[in-house]
Amino acid sequence: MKQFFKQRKFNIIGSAIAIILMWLVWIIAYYSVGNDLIVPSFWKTCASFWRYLGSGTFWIALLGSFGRTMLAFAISLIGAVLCAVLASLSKTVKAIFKPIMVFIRTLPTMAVILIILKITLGNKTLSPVIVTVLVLLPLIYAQFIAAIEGIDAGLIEMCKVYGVSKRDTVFKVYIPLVLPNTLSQTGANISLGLKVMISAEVLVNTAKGIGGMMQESSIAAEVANLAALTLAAVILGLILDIAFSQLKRITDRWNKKESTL
Amino acid sequence: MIEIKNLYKSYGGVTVYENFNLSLQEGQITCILGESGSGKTTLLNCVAGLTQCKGEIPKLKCTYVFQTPRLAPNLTVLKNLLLVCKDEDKANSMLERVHLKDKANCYPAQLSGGQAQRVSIARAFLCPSDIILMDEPFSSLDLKLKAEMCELFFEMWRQDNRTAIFVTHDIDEAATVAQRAIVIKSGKIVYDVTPQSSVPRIGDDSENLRKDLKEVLLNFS
Repeated sequence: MKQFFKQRKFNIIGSAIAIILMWLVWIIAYYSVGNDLIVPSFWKTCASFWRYLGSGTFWIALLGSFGRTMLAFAISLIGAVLCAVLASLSKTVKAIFKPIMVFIRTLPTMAVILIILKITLGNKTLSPVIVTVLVLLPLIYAQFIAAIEGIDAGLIEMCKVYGVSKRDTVFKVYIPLVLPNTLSQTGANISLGLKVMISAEVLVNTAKGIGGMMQESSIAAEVANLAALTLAAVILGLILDIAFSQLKRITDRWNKKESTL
Repeated sequence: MIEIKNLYKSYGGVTVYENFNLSLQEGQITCILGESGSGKTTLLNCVAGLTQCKGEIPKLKCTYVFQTPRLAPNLTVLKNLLLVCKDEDKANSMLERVHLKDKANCYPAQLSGGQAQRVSIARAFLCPSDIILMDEPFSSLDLKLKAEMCELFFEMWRQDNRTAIFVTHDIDEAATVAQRAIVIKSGKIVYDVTPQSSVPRIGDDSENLRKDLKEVLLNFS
């Protein structure tokens, strides 16, 4: 327990130093450039951020971007799990999926956004979701494949010898053993999804989206507003990352060693 | 009698067994010794159906005590037993027999090596089977624990006298537990003895078998 609090204290101090360093970089950049249209003042950005917090439009946009990110994540997760299960059942399926996943992973995001915008006949809400799925799906698939391959083969042999049912092998052995690795990456995956989502929204100028608001601020040369929206996206990404990384705690208790041993 | 006939097994062009025959007396502990790579574990895996092989091997319901306990880390000790046998009362009484009742709700990571292997033995005896396969189950334990585990194994085995194949490279272990001892070298039986003294053999009782086994293993290595 003492060790836990010591580690926590250490993490808080580390984070505080990192924030101060980034703030210093901002201040130095502001005074070095000396142009509010390129690097906005920290205080102006804070004021702008504060104004946004009281604005309904901002919250609708934030919720819109967040909702679309979660939708894209859910689609990617379901798709990746299905593909990973099929690939782990058949080597042929795995061999087919491999080049497909490599192809999807190497697609240039910005070009894809524009192509999908054309395919979806200019649907500015749907195309960022599709692009985010295309980024997240191969990533989550690779994580699941690695987790499945990481399962102790000896444990599966044990299940086979003892005649453990397929259902129990999947639900009591496979899934719980795949979870620790995948749960720990959920936060990072969602915040990456949010980043891609906002980039796509900026490019297609999605209404009711943080990216769309950023694009409007950029056109109006409201750099402080643009920085404030970026700050909001960063904070949302951080919150999601931290919140979902807590999921890993569910599986941590399996590995807790008894102090009396 | 359990009979394995004309067993053939090869790995990537290397033949491990060719026309290998073995008859096992039911209710007996047969100890198999041999140097590393002589095919001891392969034989157990063939019997358990874990590896594909040719020949006549009777379809047996097996339980297996592996070198490592192979417990699911996400399940408590009791749930690990319930994974292979749904009868909770039986699982609890088995835990009592291996003196781990107080660890029923612990996860495998919270057990010592000896405790985890005791759970593995409990699992093997909990499940009804035609044969118990034991693959160097105590090799990673220290001398004291090894002796304790041997004692526990006999305690459990006496309850149902189940047929067992006990693979080991430890002469002392074999001299203690074997009702029949076999030495395998390059997929062939080079020594096969059924000592008359009863098991567990301790002290002077095991001396002759120990000497013979040592000689055979030294001569054939």
